[in-house]
Amino acid sequence: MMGMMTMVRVLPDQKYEEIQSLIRNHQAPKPEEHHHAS
Amino acid sequence: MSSSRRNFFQDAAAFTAGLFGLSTPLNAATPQSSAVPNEKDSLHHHTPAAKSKSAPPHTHSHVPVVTPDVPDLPFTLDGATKVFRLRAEPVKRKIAPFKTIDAWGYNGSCPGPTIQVTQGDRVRIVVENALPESTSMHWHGLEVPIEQDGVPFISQKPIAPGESYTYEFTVHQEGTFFYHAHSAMQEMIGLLGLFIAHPQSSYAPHADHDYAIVLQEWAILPSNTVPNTASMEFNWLTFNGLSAPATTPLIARLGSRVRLRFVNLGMDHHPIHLHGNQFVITGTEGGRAPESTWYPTNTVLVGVAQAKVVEFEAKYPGDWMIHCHLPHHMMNSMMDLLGDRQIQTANSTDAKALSQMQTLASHLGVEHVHHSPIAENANSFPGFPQDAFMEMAMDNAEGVSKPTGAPA
Repeated sequence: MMGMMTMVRVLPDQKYEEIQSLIRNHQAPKPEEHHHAS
Repeated sequence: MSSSRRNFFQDAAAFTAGLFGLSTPLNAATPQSSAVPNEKDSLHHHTPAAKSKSAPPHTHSHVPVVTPDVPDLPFTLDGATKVFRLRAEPVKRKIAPFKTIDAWGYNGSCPGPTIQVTQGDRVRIVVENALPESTSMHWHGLEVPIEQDGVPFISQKPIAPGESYTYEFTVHQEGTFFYHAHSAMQEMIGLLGLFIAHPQSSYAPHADHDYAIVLQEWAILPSNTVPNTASMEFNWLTFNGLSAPATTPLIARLGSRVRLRFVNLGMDHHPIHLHGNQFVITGTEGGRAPESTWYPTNTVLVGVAQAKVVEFEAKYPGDWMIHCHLPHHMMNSMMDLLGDRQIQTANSTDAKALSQMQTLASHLGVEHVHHSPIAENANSFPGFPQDAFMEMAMDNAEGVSKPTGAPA
């Protein structure tokens, strides 16, 4: 889907704190390696 | 490292961050707003009201509103008056990793930065016009003196290019309001933003998260970057100036109470649906609704020029979609994410598009298919392919680059 869409990401405590820590530190998770067959 | 390769990794990082809820500057191409001139240098068409009003009591304990992908507007204090500055100017907005448009906005942002005040605040907003045409600013829903209403030729002179206008009033309401240019069609090129008035005492029940989303539509022909503000058909639909899957998710702690504020300043009404949860409608563009009026639902119609505020308990872990349920609006007028259309997942050699799809698929735990699977004998079925997945007239339009938006 594209366009007018987003998500509410409901996270358990531990994952929530982990993400908030990344946000506070302005860090992005490492991009996942791309594998493309074609 | 080549420029294209560097851009690829930058875009991939930005997109991945978005998936994890980091409000990354996807609109990195957006120029930084130049320094706003000293208020003394601005042209004042009227004299601001007295500055002697004392600061209102701040007894609230609300959480600040978060507008994903849109900054807040900072302010300075002149005595007890909160002074904000907005500069209307052209803005490059990257609404999707492969689509940057020439919009207009405020302080380098489109939508404009979010203003947050507390009920009872005295505010002064200096609006500078760095556009090539006149503008003005209307404080939608706020009960202000007529000379602050922002309507050209009725309550004020238009703000000419290069000039400024100072608005000043006391915010005696609470709720979800917005500001927008009140000159012809300027909302449709992005001149709008949120104006949040927090109550002096926090709403009950207390919300742990408070998010705001501006709904917008854009008509941008292929190979053009300038929105057609006169169009009544739209091919790009955005939340806070971004089109999914580039939108930044709203992060909520399991068990928390979540408030969502939707504001619609476009041409279409939007039935906004939340997956997997029920919510209650707790407010409108007129402020907080009495609890006796709340009822359970999971879709709220946000009409043009309206705000709707909903709240729910985040009881279920997971990624719960929020989207306009008009079919065209959740697919950017049928540019199917899994089809081989605009994003070209089937036959594309666009590394960025492929990377985005791979990242999204990995995160969702599904196989990255390059097109939606179809039956081998699909063509023998009446009704296949759907008309929707055949070429649209807009896609076939011959793109004529008009970087300035001016007639050829």
